[in-house]
Amino acid sequence: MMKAKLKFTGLDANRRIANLIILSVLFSLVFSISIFVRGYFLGNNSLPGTDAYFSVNVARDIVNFRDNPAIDSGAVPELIWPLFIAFFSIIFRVHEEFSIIALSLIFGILSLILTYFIIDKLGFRKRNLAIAFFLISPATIWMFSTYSKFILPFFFSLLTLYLLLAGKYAISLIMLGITCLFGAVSGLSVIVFSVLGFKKGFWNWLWKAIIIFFVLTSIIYFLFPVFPEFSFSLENIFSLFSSLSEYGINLFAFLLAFIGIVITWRERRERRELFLIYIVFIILLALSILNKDFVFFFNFILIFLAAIGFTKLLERNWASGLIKGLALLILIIGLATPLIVMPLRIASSAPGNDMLEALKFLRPQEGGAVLSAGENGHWIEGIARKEVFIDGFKSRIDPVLEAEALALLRERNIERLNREFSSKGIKYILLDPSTRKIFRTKDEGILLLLLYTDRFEKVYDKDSIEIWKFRAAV
Amino acid sequence: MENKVAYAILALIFLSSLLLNSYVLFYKPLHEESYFPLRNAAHIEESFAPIVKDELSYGGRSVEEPFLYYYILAAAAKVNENLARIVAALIISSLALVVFLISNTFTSKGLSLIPAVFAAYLPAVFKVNMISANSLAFLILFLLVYSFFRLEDKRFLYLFIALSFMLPLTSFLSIFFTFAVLVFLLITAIEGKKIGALEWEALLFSVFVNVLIILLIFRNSLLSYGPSFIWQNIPADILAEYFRNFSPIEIIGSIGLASLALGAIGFVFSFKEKNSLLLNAFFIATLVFLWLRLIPFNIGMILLSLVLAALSSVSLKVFNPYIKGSKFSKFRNTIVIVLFITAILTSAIPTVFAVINYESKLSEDTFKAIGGLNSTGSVILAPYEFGHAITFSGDKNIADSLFLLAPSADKRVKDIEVVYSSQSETPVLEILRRYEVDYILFDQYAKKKFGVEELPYLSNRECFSKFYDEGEAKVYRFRCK
Repeated sequence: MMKAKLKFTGLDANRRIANLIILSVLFSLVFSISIFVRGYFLGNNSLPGTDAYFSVNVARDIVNFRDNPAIDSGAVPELIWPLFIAFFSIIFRVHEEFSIIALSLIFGILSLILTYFIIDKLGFRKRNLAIAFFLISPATIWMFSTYSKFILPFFFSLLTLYLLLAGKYAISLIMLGITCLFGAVSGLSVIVFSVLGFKKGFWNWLWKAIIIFFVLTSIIYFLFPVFPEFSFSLENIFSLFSSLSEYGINLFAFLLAFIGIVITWRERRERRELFLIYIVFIILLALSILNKDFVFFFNFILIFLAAIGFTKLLERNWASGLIKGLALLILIIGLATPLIVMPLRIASSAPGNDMLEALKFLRPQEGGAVLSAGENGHWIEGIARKEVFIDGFKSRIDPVLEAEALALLRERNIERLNREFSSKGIKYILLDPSTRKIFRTKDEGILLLLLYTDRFEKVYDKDSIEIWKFRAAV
Repeated sequence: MENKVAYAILALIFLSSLLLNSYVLFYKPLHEESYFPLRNAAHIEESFAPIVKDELSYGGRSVEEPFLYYYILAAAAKVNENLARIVAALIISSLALVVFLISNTFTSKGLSLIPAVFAAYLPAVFKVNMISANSLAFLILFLLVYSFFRLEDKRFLYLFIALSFMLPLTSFLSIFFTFAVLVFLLITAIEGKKIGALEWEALLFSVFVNVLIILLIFRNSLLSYGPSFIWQNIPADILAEYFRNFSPIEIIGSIGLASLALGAIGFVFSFKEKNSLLLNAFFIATLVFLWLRLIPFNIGMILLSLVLAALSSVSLKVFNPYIKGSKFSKFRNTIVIVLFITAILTSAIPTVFAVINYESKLSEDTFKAIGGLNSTGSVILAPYEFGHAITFSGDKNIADSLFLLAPSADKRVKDIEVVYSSQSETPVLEILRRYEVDYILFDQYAKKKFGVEELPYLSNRECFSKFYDEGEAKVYRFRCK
């Protein structure tokens, strides 16, 4: 068998390809667990969460040349991922929902390959271990399995780092520019990542990168002045962990990373790459505490240190073999648990079958906007194909809208409500447990009007979800 | 003092403590929260599984609780119904033995009797539920400390490993232990004390075990409440009462003057030795937990009392050679006897008073009233403190003190308050209909708690009828559903 040595890494090419194929297959398996569980066991064929529906809705409007608030408001960071989806759908003539899944898988595999090469370039010996930690980390599983908008910026930031490490400065700057188009979080993350590529000529590259970052970020926020929020609270620190919030990093990986830092602290002067990893780790940890969107980028650096910590514990000369065996077993269980928990959590995430059924009922009904909780907005648009008064994106660009929606739901004056509904084109009210949360009693606000006036007709009532149709007074 | 004499005195201390604890458990009305462990044990006896879905509590809710203690109670109850209470008393009384063993690692057996006295008679024990997983957790916590001191002996290494698994399966206090270990590591680093490889590994292992089991047992609670999980979803009003502020007199009363004084001195000298630093870390962790209101005041007081009792051995260790070398050396035995008597006077006597004055919120009459309804599955509205007694007798409550994962706990507790304190019938009827209430319980505790003598709306004969009236407890039937 011919053994080709690759010049820049010295790795056996066949082995490298075999490794990459195995990793890609493993990634595909992890990726498909949640789809399989959701579709096969739970009988739910919708996409998980709200983000995916937002992207799909925008992509569909792009394909059909329809108006969309995201396009109208020039929200560049929110548009690139849907643009990719729309482009994929046009080229392969597939549905947008299929495109988002396919693209997530493709960019997931590409990100994994890039991670592999980056680890290789950094001269990190425990490459396979770090990749394994990356694969089973809850943040990775969450990002790719919920088809998050961070898939692309994460991929481009890895590409930037890889090109920087390979000495391709000009192309890496272009990739950095593309990453900056996804917003300040992605832009800042890629700049922090680039610290790992510190070598001769780095400072020259860095100041150009910073200029590109500032120019592009300024233009983006000039067009779409909705800034990411940065705030500090104790709650933010805890919410970094997947066990304490919807998504995040693995607590055991964090403990291992901490152990890794403690054990390797003395080697920081001899091993420059370690020192760089510490810096990136600390900066991204601080940024993740201030804004959780950074957690996907922080997770990348966490796996390095977790792998170091795990290796050091493994190689340590333990005083008790029994404790070593048990401690490592517990660590492995703790690290591997997200592999089961996260896909199940994603598979069972909203919209559930009850909501799906209600929205499928709503779809063939006559046109008209729907009033419901903001978090249902993208599902109503995507599954029921109806306009909504408020959704997650609309409430971000116009926070007043949320207060208006709340006021409408609390309104008890039928004449005023008639005027408001008519002017806003609202024809349906969708009441689900999350919308009902604002009411303390069964006859509060609009609930009273639903019960005691003839302007509303209950057209759907199943599994705690009700849809009421509004008949405007002539 | 000869070892045999010391052991004989220790046995006496243990037996007297066991007698006191058993007396409270057998001859006084049970603490209102005792009924949940007893019910859980009965459930395990029946189905060999702890309660995870409780249809009787809060109109149906999930339960996430460490279960080891309930299995022990169930095993005891399987042999004899009364054995469960004896086991509970034995667990609490054994604390004195463990504190003796810990003290013995610092000082002689004779002097270790003094900390054992402090641990045997804890007035704070009689202010909390004695049939509680926390009592087992205290025992495990201090056994962990003792086995940590003797890790070099393989038997204690195995014991340490086993206890590390048992603690998170027993109680919420495993979080306290994890924190205390981190404090210990921090103090040893600051003090420049070198931790042996085996000790370091054992501690690391115990942290990993505790974290993993906490994440597994409380997975839904952690996801639902995030970091606020540590406050166990306790409604704000109750939290304020539950995690009370410090009162110096109350602290002295709960801990005992001699224990407090000797323990505080021991704390000061504990920085010198690595082993005593672990007790030191426990002391600091308890103060932090109390300060941040992460453990109920009385549980914190018991922990503090036990740590101070153990720390008092450090001060005895310091004073012993000092006295020997001074002019008072010939009075050494007299001083020890005086100390022993002081220990008994300042710990045992307040404990006896605490036992005499022991009162459960759930009086015998009220418990009889609940049990006397003979109406399995009925919804009984009562103060949330009686919730477990209601479910124990097979009826449904509106709220109880197990707030973790309880649906709308805050709202339900407030609704109960409205029913007992409202002068108007309208909101009361709305609440009673909403929860489909069958009976309202009205007793001395409810009168005292809500500051009412009568419930004015009960005069409505159409909706309310007196169903039970014996002693201090009355039960009214609600008919307007």
